Amino acid sequence: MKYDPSCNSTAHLVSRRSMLSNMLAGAAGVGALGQLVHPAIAKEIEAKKKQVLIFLLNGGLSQFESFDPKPNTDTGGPFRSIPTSVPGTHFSELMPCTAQIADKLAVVRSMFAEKVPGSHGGAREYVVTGRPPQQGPYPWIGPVYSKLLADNTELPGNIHITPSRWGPRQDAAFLGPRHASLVLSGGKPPLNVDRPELFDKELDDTRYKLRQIADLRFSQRRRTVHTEAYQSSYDQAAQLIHQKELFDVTKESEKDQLRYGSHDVGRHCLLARRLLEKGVTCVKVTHNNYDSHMENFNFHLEQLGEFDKPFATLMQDLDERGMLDSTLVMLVTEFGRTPVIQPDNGRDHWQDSWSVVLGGCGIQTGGVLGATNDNGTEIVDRPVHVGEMFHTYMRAVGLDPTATHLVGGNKVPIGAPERSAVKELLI
Amino acid sequence: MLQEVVLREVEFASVFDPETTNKTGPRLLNALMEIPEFAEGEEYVEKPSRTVRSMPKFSLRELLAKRLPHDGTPEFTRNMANRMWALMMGRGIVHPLDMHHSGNPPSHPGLLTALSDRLTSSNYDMKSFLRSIALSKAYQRSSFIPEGVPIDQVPADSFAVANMKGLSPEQLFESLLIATQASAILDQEINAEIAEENATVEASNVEKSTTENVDPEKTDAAKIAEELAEAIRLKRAARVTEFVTVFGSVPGQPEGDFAASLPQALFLANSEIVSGWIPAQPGNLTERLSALDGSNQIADELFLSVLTRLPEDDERTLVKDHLEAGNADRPKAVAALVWSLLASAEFRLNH
Repeated sequence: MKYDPSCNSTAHLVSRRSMLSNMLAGAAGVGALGQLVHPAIAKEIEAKKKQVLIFLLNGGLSQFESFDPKPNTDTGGPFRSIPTSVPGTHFSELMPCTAQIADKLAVVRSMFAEKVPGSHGGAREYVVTGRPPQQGPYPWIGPVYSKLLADNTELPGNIHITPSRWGPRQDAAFLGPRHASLVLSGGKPPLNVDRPELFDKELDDTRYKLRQIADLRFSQRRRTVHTEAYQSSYDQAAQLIHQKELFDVTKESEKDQLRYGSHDVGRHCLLARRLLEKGVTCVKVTHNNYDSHMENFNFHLEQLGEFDKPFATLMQDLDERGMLDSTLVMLVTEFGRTPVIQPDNGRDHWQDSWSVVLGGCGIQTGGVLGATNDNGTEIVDRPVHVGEMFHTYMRAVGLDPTATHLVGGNKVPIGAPERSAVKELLI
Repeated sequence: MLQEVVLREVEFASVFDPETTNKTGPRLLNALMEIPEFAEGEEYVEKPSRTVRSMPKFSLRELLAKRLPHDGTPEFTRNMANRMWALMMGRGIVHPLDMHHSGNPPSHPGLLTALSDRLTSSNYDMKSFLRSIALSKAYQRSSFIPEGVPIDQVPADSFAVANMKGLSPEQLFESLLIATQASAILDQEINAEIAEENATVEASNVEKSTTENVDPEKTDAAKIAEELAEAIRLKRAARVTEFVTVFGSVPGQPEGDFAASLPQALFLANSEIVSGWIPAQPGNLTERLSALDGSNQIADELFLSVLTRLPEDDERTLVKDHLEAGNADRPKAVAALVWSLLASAEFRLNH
């Protein structure tokens, strides 16, 4: 597997940990962490590890109302298109802020997938695993990054910020719960992060120590693979309990909170920035309600009205902090929406063509790959299959998708073996 | 009664292509056959009714039944033998489970064949099958690696040393409840919840009862007892489900190798449900231990209650030192000890 071996060295872990604690100590006094984490530290993170930021727009973002507008056609709908920072490339007018940072993005307008069982759930799984869901369960992409980029870190490798209550899912499949998404429902800290009243801080530390002593005893002259995994889960827990402010977006400056907006997706994007700055390997932000079978235009006006600004702001902030070089950004959705406008002004599910956007680490930005015809009913240039994108997401951060996961002694290819990365998108 | 109903082909049109209509109807996977059509009302030998099992003239269910695994399906028997072995031994002879293919051969082919034969010859008597495994030397081995034996000489697929397996979510729930001696606390909590809900219902019934007659069946004492038992069962099941959500494997997949996660550790450390059983309360373990005199007595009772063994000398010393350090609040110091053993690998893993 090709990735920077220094990522796993103890020296690196120690220095990053001390760096984090210094940051935390500093933040307590100043109360404005955003100003403390600046190019010097950002550079250190960059030199040492790759990170990933995933936006999942749940329900199926309309390509027409976002990255592949077709104004003045029978399918185009009421919105106009606007120029972007990339000459010749136009987005929908619903994305004015994103249009200004188009040069930091690579737009793929020719995504497609076969229809798979399971409607939204099935299509989403196809996008985030690169495998048809009926062959699964395969691990989602977040757990894959957690396994390959953050196997030995003490911070959780893979955090999922979601607006609604979203219980623990086994999205890590055969990679094991160690890599399953740590879910921040409603952008709040993980469940059960507060110690019970019974134990004050000192006694809380003591009970973890007593537990560890019991385990050390137990693991003598036994195979240690289970006990080590068990110990590591408590190490993470103990660490997290002391780092609750990791999840506290109000620790960010008021100015930043204003810039990102007070609605959920604004706060969640700012939280994502905070987590990335603290060194979390993979952060996923979901934004809901794109499934616009009725009133497609009103829905997109509202949803993108929320999403556009914080998304663009986050891209800009990551860029200013020098983090985009080492952070892959992807904006994905389970499928697109039909060219035909249905009664009630809706658009239905459409897996024949939709748009995906990439940016940051390893990505050739400032261009558009693939094209649909004049009214967006079919792909006319460079069709890109969801399985190819999964390979691309791996290559962009220096991972080899043709390598294998070891599962109970069996080798399972990381990406679908019949696919390969989209070279045009990679640097 | 589950009744087989004759289904006919129906017409449908795709929303993308409303002009073209297609037909679909019941069918069996990969089955090439023609389904005879009978005139309406002529489809049954025995029509479906409340009391009689229906029998269509052409029964798809009968065809399906013939395709289900039976004793002439060796693959089914082998997989079942392997799954049952894994249930007992913490690992399949073919491992990962269900992955029977040439690239993943069984670790002990002869054993798997013998187990499969045993299943067939005993007419799939599961109790006797599991008893045989439980009586085997392999099952009764300790997870201790014998002195002087290097670890690489006893790999997991050799079964030379017991493979540790995690408690299932349901086992973990019951084990925690038994170890903390908190059953009574849980019962009280559930009863209080039910009483509160009933009070709310009654309050709203009082308003209604002026206009509605009370259902005479509802006043039947046996019925009330039955409903109460069902309410208790559901409340308890909801708590078990909390454990299944955090500790269970993907629905429909076998419980895999033991794995530990951060949300699991946080759940055992801080969740309301587990933390509710630990502090000293009438009748529970912490209270009982806190009332004992000497630290040795506490240590013995603690280890017997949680780990079903007596402590070693160094463990007694550890308990003594800890209790002396936390003298100010004995029940709290004991609670920390109780938790440390509940959260230990020795408790979590079947060894």
